[in-house]
Amino acid sequence: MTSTGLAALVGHARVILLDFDGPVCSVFAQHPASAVAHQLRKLLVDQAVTLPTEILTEPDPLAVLRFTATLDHPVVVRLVDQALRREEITAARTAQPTPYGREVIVAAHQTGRQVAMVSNNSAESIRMYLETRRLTPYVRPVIGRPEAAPERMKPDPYPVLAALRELGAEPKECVLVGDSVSDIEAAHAAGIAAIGYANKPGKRERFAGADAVIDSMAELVAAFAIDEL
Amino acid sequence: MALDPDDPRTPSQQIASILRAEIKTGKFAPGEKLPSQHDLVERFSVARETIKAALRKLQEERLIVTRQGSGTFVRANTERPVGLRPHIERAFEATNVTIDFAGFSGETLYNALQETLDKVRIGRLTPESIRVRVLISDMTAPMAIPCRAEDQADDPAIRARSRRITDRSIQALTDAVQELGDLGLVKSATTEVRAHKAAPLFKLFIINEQEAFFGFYPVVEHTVSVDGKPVAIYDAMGKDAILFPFTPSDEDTSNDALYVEQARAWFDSMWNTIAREYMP
Repeated sequence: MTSTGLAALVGHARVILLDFDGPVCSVFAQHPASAVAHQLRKLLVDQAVTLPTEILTEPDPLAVLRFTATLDHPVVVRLVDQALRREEITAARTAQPTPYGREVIVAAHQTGRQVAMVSNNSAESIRMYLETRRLTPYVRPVIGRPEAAPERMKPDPYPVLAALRELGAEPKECVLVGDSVSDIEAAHAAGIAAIGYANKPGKRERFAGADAVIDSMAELVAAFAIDEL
Repeated sequence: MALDPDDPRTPSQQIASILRAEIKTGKFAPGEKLPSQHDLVERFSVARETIKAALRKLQEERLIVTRQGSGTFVRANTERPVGLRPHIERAFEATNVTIDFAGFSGETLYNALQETLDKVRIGRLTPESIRVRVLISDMTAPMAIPCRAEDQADDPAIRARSRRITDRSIQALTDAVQELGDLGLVKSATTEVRAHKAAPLFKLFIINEQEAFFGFYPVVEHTVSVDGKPVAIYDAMGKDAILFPFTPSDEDTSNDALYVEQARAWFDSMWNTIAREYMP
């Protein structure tokens, strides 16, 4: 992606939708995701659920939650979802800020853009992180994981559409920034442009469908074209 | 708005001073209608007589005028020049001009002085001496702001950026004042700059030792470029600050004269104690 292409993409955007885990912070930096995934598995085993092999080694707690949606057992889904919410709150306390994540949020606000959070993490944990970092006033709305409905997480467009509805924004005014393919898919399914944040080696290749790919959040700040910069 | 029960002044005095401030800071423009007595009764939760007393006071100060049947209005003909510039220009009609400034960068001061200095250069204003004193925060030392927003930590690179902004406006101001002396247009034209290690939280102008203007610097977060990288910082933001005028006059019954006296005492105390000569 050339910087002029990125500037054009971001330049027109009145609304910046940010995925939380990745573009803003690393949620499970100090509270390992794999340990949380393991806890959720224990919960499932206690509920007499048989785990398929790929879930037995799954390091992502959201993937474990997503699996519960296939069980056709709402009580179990709710149980796992709520357990994960508790863990996310703990994790958010020690989340590691992404380099230039704050700068993106502040710079977007400074240039008259709205910043919304669209995440598969719980809204409570996101709000707690924003509050601790004194970022709450810049972000509205915070759309987190729908309660006990993992099938509506990204890549489903539901959370993105919920943000658009709350902002009264048109898809063409928005751009979403995420660090996973499901972010790109959710954005496109909602009809909005998507920027892939390639924060790990090998990700860039997986973002073939994205409208732009960045390696650093600082590239976004530059694209906002701030007077003071 | 509730009145302060611990305030030793009477309710009507307090209300008068609140309304006076709102008129002077332009919340009510010259010619504009004030809220009705009924609305003011509601706003301050006091008796109508108290409101009447407060309005009488403002009327005596010639700030408002009551038109029978149509209400109370801010007087148009006592319209004070908005902002600093006209005051500075008028101050330059004096033989000996003194401007004391305390604040962050002196950018506002330079902007406000520029036009007036131009008028001296073309001979429209002819003071014999100009003495400008600038009291700023020493950006070579760590202080509360500017700082990194993320962890509120001190960052020498952020301070260096602020220092460059400060130095630029101070240099421009110093040059412009000195030029008037060099050209022989003014017998004595000096700019002295001193810096202290307290963070910039407000700006204060004292003009000819007679008038003062005060504005708060709110702390704002913004993303700036430091060594080519974007950094979110907490900084003092002065450019949108309302300047409160303190301009005592003979018939004035307000506290303006006292304010100017205390502002001068504060400025001199800083200047003569913890401030050090500063070379941009």
